Amino acid sequence: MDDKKIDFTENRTKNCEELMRPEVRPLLDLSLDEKVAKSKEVIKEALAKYPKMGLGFSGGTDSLVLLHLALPLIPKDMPIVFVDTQHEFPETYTFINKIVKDWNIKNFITVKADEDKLEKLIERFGLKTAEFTEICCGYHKIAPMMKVIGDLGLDAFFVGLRGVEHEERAKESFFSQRTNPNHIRVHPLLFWRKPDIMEYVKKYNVECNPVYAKGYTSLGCITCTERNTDPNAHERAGRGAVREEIMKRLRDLGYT
Amino acid sequence: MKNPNLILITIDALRPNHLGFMGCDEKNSPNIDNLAKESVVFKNAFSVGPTTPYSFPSILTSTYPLDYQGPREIKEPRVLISEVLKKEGYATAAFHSSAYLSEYFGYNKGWDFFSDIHFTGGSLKASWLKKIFNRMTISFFPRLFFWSAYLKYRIEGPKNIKVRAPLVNRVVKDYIYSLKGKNQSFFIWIHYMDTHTPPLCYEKNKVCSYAELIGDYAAAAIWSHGNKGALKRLIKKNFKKYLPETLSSYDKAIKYLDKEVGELLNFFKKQNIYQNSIICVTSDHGDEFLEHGGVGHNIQLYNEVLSIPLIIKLPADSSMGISNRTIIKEKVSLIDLAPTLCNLVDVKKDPSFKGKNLFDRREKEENLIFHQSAFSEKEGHRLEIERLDQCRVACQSDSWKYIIDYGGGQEELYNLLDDPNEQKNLAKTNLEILFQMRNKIKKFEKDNPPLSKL
Repeated sequence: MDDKKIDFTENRTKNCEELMRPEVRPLLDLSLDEKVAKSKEVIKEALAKYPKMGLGFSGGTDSLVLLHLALPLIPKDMPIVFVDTQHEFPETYTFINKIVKDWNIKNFITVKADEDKLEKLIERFGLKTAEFTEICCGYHKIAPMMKVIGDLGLDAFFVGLRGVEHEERAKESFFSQRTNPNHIRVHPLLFWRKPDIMEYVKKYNVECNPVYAKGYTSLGCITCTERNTDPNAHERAGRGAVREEIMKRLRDLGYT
Repeated sequence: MKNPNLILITIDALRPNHLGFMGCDEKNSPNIDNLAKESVVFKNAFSVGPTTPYSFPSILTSTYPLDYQGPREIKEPRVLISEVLKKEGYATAAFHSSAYLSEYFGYNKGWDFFSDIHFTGGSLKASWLKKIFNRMTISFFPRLFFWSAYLKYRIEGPKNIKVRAPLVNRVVKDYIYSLKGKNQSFFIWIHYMDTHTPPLCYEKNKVCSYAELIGDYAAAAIWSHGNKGALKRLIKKNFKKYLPETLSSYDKAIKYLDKEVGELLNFFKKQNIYQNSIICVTSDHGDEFLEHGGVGHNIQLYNEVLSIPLIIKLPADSSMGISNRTIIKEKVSLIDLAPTLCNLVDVKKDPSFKGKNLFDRREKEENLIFHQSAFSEKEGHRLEIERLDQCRVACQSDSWKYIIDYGGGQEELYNLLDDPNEQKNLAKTNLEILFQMRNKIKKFEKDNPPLSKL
C-alpha cells in the first residue's frame, strides 16, 4: 500500500472485501446472529488452542463488541489490555473506567510508554508525516502492547480487527502469527462490516464511547484523528492518509 | 492575511483581588500577571450572574441569563460565539469539565471539537440525586457527613474530585497539534475548574493537613448546601474557624492554576501562536468568604461574587486602535465580551448579541451594568426557573448599587463610593436614588423581559 493513494470513499469497503481470503469473504453476508455464532466459535477455538491469552480493548466500538462477545466465554482472570497512548480523547478514559466497573472486569491492565515523546517527535519530523506516524505509533502504541504481551507470556491475543477497515487488514486470517514476541493474533470479528457492529450494539444495548456521538467514526489519538461526518466516506476517513498509507509498515511492527 | 487566532481562557470562581496584577500582595499569579503586563486590563469588570449557569449565557452568547426561558438550555434565539466564528471559517474548539457547560445544557453548538471532560460517566440526574442525599445527611447527621467526607477524602485523595488543569492542557495541546499545516485561524475556549470550591490542597498534591482538610470540607459542605436552613449556624461556625486555612487553600489553588496557565502560554509561544493571537483571560464569577455571612456563590448579587478579572492581549502588530498595556478603569460587563471578541477579529456580531464592543470609545450615556440570579428548589439546582419571584436583579453605576429580590420584594441600595463592600443598606433612607435605580431596572426589564415565553 505504501505507494498507493488511499480511497476514502465508501468504495473502499468493497475493495477490501474483494481482497479478503476466499474462506473469509462468504462470511460477510451472514446474518448478525450467524456472525455472533461464528465469532464465538473462533473465540472458543482459540481458548482451546492457546493456554495463555489476553484481549486488547481500546475503548473503540469494535473492541467493545469483541469484549462483550468474549466476556461470557473467557476466564475471569484473562488480562484485558488497554494501551494508553497518553493522547486519547478524555472521554475514552472515562468510558473505559466505566466499562471496567460496570462489566466487572477483574484483570484490567493499562500500559503506556515510559515517556511522552509526542512533542519531540512533532518537532523532529512534523505532525502526520510518515516518519512521525511510524515512530510515534511505534513508541506510544505498538511497543507498550508488544511489551505487555511478552511480559505476560501470552500465547495469543484477541483484537477487534475487521477486514473491511483496511486493505492490509483484509488479507488477514482468524489466526495470525506475530513475532517479537512470538504470539498469535486472533481476529474473531474479521468478517464483520460496520453496520453489523452498529446492529450488535443496538440489539444488545451496549453503551458506546461518547466520542462517536461527536462525529468520529474511528478513534485514535486526538492529534491524528478527525471527525468524519460525510455519510459516503469510508469509516476510517478521519484517520488521515499517512497512517493508512504506511499501515503495512505499522503492522509489521505489531500494529493491529 | 489570516485572521488572528482567538484564545478565551475562563477560570471558574476566580476573585480578582487574589491576583497580583489586581493588587494582591500574595504572589499567587506571576504568569497571569505577566500576561496582564502586555494586555489591555479591565480593572473593574463584572459578571452578569453569580454562578456558572447565570454567567456563561452572557460570556458565550451575549444574552442575559433570564432572557427568553431562562438559562436552562442554550438554544435559539441564543447563538453561541462559536457558531458565529465557525461560519466565518474559524476552527473552533472547547475544553471544559463543568457539567453546567455540557451538551446537556446546549453549550456544544458551533464547536468542531467539544471536549467536556468528566471523571464519572454518571448522569446529571444521578449527581443531583446524590446532592439531595447529601443534603439530607448533612441536615440530620452533620457529624456523619463531615466524617464520611473526611474519610472519603483520606482514602481517595483529592485526585478524583475535579478535573485538573494539566489534563485540560494536554487535550488543548493535542488539538493544537492536530491543526498543524491547516493554515486555518482558530477560536479555542478553555475553562479551568481548579479554583472552584472546594479549593484542594494543591501544594502538596496528595497529602493534606487536618486543618486544611476540614477547611476544605467546611467549604465544600457550604458550597453544596447553600446558606439556608437549620445548619447555617453550624456551617458558619465551622467556616469561620477554618477561614484562614480555606483562604490559604484558595490561594494555593490559584498558584497551582497560574503555573499551568503559564505552561500553556509557553506552549503557545513555542508553537508561534502567542504573538499573533488574541488571548482573553477572565472568570465566570467570584466567590464569597463570609463578606455577607455566606460562602461560595449562589443567588447573592454582591460584588465579591460579581467582580471578575478581565484581560485581553491583542496581537503584537495590532492595528485595532488600542494598544496592549492599556488600563481601562470604567465598569464593564461580560455581556460585552462576545461582541468585543467578534469585533477584534473583524467578524460581524450576531444580531442576537445584546452587548456592545468594549473598545468602542465613543461617548456613552451613564455607564450601567446589570446582574441577574435566581434560585429554584426544584431538583436542588438553579435552572428550572418558572416564576419571577425566584429571581433577583441588580444594577450598578459607578456610585450606586441596587438589588431587588422578587421573592420577598426586598430592595437594597448601596453607595459604592462610601461603602464599596456593600454593608450599609440605604434603601430606606435614600429614596430619591432608590426610585431612580428602580426605574433603571424597570427600563432594563422592559428591554430584556425576564422569563418571557417565546
